[in-house]
This record gives sequence, structure tokens and C-alpha cells, in this order.
Amino acid sequence: MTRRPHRRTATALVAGALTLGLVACGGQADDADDTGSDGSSESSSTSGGSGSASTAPSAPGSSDTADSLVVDVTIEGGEVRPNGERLEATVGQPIVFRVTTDVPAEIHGHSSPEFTIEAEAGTSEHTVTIDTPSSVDVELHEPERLLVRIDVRP
Amino acid sequence: MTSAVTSAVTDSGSIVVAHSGLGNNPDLPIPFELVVLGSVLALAASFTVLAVAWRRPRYDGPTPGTTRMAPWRPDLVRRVAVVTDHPATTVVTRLLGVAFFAYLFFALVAGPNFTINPGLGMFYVLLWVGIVPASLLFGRFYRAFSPVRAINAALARVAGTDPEHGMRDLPSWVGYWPAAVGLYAFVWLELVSVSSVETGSVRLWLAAYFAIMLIGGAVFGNRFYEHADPFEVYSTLVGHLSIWGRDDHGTLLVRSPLANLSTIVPVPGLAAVVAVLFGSTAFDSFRESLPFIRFVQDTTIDSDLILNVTLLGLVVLVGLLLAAASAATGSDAGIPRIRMPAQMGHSIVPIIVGYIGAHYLTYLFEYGQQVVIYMSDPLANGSNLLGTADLQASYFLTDNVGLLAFLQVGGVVVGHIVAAVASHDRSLALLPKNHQLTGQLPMLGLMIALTAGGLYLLFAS
Repeated sequence: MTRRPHRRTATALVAGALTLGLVACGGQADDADDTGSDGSSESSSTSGGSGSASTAPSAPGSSDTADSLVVDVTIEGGEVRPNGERLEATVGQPIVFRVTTDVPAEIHGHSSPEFTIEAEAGTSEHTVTIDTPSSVDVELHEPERLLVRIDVRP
Repeated sequence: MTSAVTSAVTDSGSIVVAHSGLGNNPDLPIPFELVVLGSVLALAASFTVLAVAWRRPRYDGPTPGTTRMAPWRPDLVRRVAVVTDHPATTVVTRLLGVAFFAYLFFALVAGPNFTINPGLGMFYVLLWVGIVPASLLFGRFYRAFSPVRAINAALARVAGTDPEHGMRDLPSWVGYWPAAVGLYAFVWLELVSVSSVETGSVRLWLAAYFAIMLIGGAVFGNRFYEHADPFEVYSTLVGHLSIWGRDDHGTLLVRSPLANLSTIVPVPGLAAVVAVLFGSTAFDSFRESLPFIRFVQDTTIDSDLILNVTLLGLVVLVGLLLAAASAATGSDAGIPRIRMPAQMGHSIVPIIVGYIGAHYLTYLFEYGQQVVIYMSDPLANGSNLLGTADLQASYFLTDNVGLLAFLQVGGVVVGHIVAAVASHDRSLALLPKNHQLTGQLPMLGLMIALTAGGLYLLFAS
């Protein structure tokens, strides 16, 4: 009487743990092989105060075929966009920050290692690649605001 | 020297908005299907325990806070106790505890006021988060290493008094309430205060901690630390999920963690301690979630006020839910309803440990390594005091997000199952015979809500 229920509980738990394991492994199946370069790299190009966008040269080390993720950042009269949005990227994918601002702006990315973007007034493009999977908060400095959170997956 | 500081600051980034704590990048959110699966498992396990588990208390002793489970091989454990309870061991562990805090203080006083100061990491990561695994492995960990117990014992030896007893007895109605206040003061400093990573604030907090603990110890003796030291109370509660226990005479025992769990003494304020621990961890997840950040950034309401109200609100909410769920069914064991939350509080401890483990796993493992690296250079002048300065932190968990998500959800679900079993066992001991199954439903509902809520916050962070 006392033994059987315990065994049944144990069976249910083991079955549950196995299911959990299968789901978790499925999510991990295609582990990205490291591109070799560690950390993130940044390149930027600026076009004065004219307001016209210029094309960023492709980031060193990243392949030209990979689709890049474009993040439009605008800072106008104290109004900052985007406001804490979630984006998805993959490891090594070029991420282009197209910054349109009326004041010089400093943007920090909390990847490891971190990256910093210094944007002059006007429109400029800055390309970043992130080579370790994590959730990366990209924040504006002064005023301190979270712009986007990028889930960088393998 | 200046150049070392500057480069280090750029590396670790002193500017943090969303995560105002110390060096914690948010984990990648766990996949939604794992949230659903974990919640379903928790739900199924709860009702399995309710429906097919034992009908008489299996762990609970004749009175709450005792167990009927026999200890494992007392003859063998007695030999272990010869080593663990040896006066030399006590001296060594206390000296280690004092050395840890002395080093922490030294870094906070003499080191730079930046996040690379190892004093900050030793305080928030190694001490606060490290208490959980250390207590799971070794039982009442902080009690052995407590620097305030060490100082109190030294003072008592000089004065020729007994450190166990002070000038007065601590009134029994006090219970864990002072620890609940102390724990709230800690989580407020860590999660709400704008100067949480200023060395000056941590110094001030620690100075107050030492002052209160030494005065309390002098007045009430060591019983004060059992009830009022936030770190010791936290460690002792988590230590009840280890295999190490003590009987009434203080003899070392090895027994099932579930038997140990039922020996948590249901003193007043236990439910409050539990509410602070769970509510504050939920708050830490919640304040990092994007909807909350968007709200704070868009509104004109003062963000300090929002954070204060949210932390207090979550702690009070958890406390009220626990009080309502545990007091919903009256006991026929002569326990008034107002004392039921303390009677059931122990069963929430495994949920807290599972959720805190999931929440802080990468923080402790990855940032913890970084703190050990910083510890070699407390003054940021390029020195390598402990020989760890040139080590590289391993980001094994972040690199294996699938494994990480599995460990996180697994920890939460296991915690929930242990909690459901403990609650079931205590309910059998306390609830009237004709309400023994239905009377458990409110607590079961609360546990499922806490578990599903915790999983959702891990997903939405």
C-alpha cells in the first residue's frame, strides 16, 4: 500500500524530467561553431550634419552574405526612439545602428566585451557584431535609457 | 595606476540603466515551451502528491518543528562530528569568516569606487548569492563562518561571560521579524537604492549591520543571531534542505532533506522572511523585464518611487497570499489561524531555493569568477595578490543556452515538487481529518502560482 504510490510518483517525475531534457536538447541542437574572432567588433561611418544616410562598410570578419539587422535610433528634441524593444540576432550577424540625432550621442552595448558607439549630430551608421550568445542591452548615455535588448542566439 | 583604472572602467562599463545591479547581463529568456512544460509538470506533480501520496505524516513529528524520520547511521555520523564540532574547526571557520569580511572591508575602504572593486562583488555575489549553494551543501553555513558570532565569542571570552546568553532573553514573539527587516534592508540596497554599487553605501550598510549585531549579541546572546542576523537566518533556512541536521542536544545528524525541512521551527515572522526572499527575487526579474522598463522610461512618475512601491508591493503580495492560503483552512490541532502562515512557511523555502537558483545561476557562476579575478587587485593598481588576476572567466553556461534553460526550469520544478510534498505532510499533521485533502488546495494553488509566475518571469526577462 505504501510502496506503490511512491513508485508511481517516481515514474511520473522521471518521465517529466526526460521530457524536459528532450525539449531542452532540441533547442540546443544546432550549436554554432565559433567564428574564431572573440568579442564584438565595431565599425562606423558618419555623414556630417546633412541628414542623408551613408552605407557602412561591411564589418571586418563578417561574411557579406549574412543579412544584417538594422536598428534605427532617433534622438530629436529629447525624444528618444526606440523605447526598450526586443530584437533577435544571431552570433556574428552584422547589426547596423542607424543613428539620427540632433545632439552628439553615446551608446553602450552590454555584450561581453562591451561596445561603445559615439554618434555625431546628424545621421550615421555603426556596424557591430556580437560573437557570444547572450541578451545584450543597448543603452543611450545621457539621458540614460534602454534602447533595445537584442537576444543574440547561437 | 590611473591608466589601469580607466581601462578597467571601460571594460566593465560603469554605466548601467536597466540592470542597476552589478555586472549582470540578463540571461537569454528561456523558451516559452519550457515555461509551459515546467508549469504543467508542477501542476501534475502537485496533484499527484495530493492524490497518491501518504495519508499520515511521514516526516512531521508530533509537534511542528520536529521530525519522525530516523537519522541515517548515527554511529558513522558521530565520527564526522568529531571533526566538524572540534574546537579547532570552530576557530578555523570563524577565522575564515573574519578574514573574508576583513578583505571585503579593506577593498571597500581602500579600493576605487567602481564596479571592479572586489568588495562589491564579494558582498553581492559571493556572500549573498553564495549563501544558497554553500548552505545546500554544508547546512547552517553562515552560522559557522559568521564574523559577528566570532567577535561576540571573542568579547565574551575577554569579559569572562557566556556568549550563548546575554543580559536578557530574546522574547519569543520577536521570532524572525528582525531578520525579515534585515533581509528587506539588504534587497532594498541591492535592487532599489540608486547607489547600490557605491562603495560608500555598502560600507554604511555593513557598518550598521555590524553595530546592530554586536549590540544585539551583547544584550540577547547568540539567540539574537539565530533570529535577527539576515544572513544567518537565510542560510539556516536554506540549510534545512541539506542532508545535515541537528537534534535538540545539538548532535550532528544526517537525514533526508525533507525530514530536515520539517524541523524548521515555526516562529513568528517566518512567513515574512519567506515573503521578502521570494518577493524580492521576483522583483529583480520584473524590473529587468521590457514592459516594466518601457513603463518607467515613458512615465513622468519618479522612478525611485516606482521601484520602492513595486518592491514593497511584491513582498506584501506574496506575504498576503501565503497568509490567506495557509489560514484558509482552520486546524484542529489547537493552532489559531493567525499562526498558520508560520506553520506552513517552511514549505515555501524549496520554491525560493529553486527560483533563486534559476535566477542567479549564471550570475554566481560567471560574474562570481569575475569577482575572484578582481579580488587579486583590490586597489586597481595592477597587483596580483591572490594569483587570480590573469585567469579568464569561463562562460560555459552562457555558451550552452539549452543546458542553462534546462537547469533553470529543472531547478524550479524540483523546488516546487519538494515544496508540495512538505506542504502535504504538514497539512496531514495539522488539518482536521475531514478537510485533509480539500484543505490543502489553497496552499497548492499558491505554490502553482509562485512556480508559474517565477517561470514566466524567467521567460519574460
